[in-house]
Amino acid sequence: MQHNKNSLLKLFYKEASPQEESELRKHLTTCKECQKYMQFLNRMGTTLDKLPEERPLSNTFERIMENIPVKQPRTAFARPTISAAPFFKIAFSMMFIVLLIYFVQSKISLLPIWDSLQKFWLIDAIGSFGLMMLIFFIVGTFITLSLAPILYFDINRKALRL
Amino acid sequence: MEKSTDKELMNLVLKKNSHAFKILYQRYELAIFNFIFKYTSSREIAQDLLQETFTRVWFAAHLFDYEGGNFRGWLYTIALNTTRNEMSKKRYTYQYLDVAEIKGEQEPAHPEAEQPDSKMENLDLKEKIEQALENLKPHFREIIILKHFQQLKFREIAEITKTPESTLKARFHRGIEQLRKHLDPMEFSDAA
Repeated sequence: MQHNKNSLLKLFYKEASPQEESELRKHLTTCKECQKYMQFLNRMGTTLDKLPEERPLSNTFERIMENIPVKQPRTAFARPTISAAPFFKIAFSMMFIVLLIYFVQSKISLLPIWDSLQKFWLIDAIGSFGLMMLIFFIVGTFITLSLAPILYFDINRKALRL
Repeated sequence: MEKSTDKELMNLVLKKNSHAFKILYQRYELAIFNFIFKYTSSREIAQDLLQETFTRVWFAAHLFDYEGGNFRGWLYTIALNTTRNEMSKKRYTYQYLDVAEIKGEQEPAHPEAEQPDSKMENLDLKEKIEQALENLKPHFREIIILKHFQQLKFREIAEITKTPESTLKARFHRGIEQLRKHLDPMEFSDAA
């Protein structure tokens, strides 16, 4: 085997394969030149190892993070206690319902059945407009109560996701 | 999260998770700081470049090879390039940092065990080794630090420095020969 400093370097830093290592060790028992180089590597390694490990400042990570924009967790949007939007919604909904009732009652009073319905004192008292209001109120209540559980859970699910 | 691999943590860093980033920092701060410190011989520069290196890791997380990449190698590449860039600037000369200044900031591991004489000897030897390293040409110093102090394999160093292994080994031999000349005849001869 020829003198090969690179192989000795691999042996010194434990990068040699088991086969290479056994060959090199065998070679080292007879080769004075390689023995001398291995001794030199050992001495140099021992000397360099005397250099102590240094530590950075303890607040280095905080200093790094100061220069990094980190996405902040989403803060809950503080809604105002009173918002104008629901009032507008209610007002427009009521206007729409009243107009619808007015339109339907004007048509219902033209029907032939209306004369027979007027024989009932309650219907006679409240008139076609009142009758339609009553029907809308009953139907509206029924729909609201049917949808309430669904709406309630849906709102809570959205709130939990936030 | 502490037991996660570097790649798993990098995946979280990509999603801007600062906790994962801190774990990665804690894993490599000493290695990178010592690499830069030995390269530059300046605590202040090493401190700045350590920060710069990790800041680059955060901003360049999308450039890491999540399939077959090696995080340690990638980190050393960033640290090495950052250090090379900084040291190539005129404003930083290879000035030697006063060892007493370094010593003043560091607490000894076992203060009661250190006798004044041995402390002075260690300080003297430390100074000599640092001076010897500083006197080396940057590419010799680079390979000695990465190989001996950072214990990287030649294959890894070849990837980091984009240099053939044979060239690196040749540089290493020449580097330690030069170190020997700088250390001889004082401490080095006593180390045998």
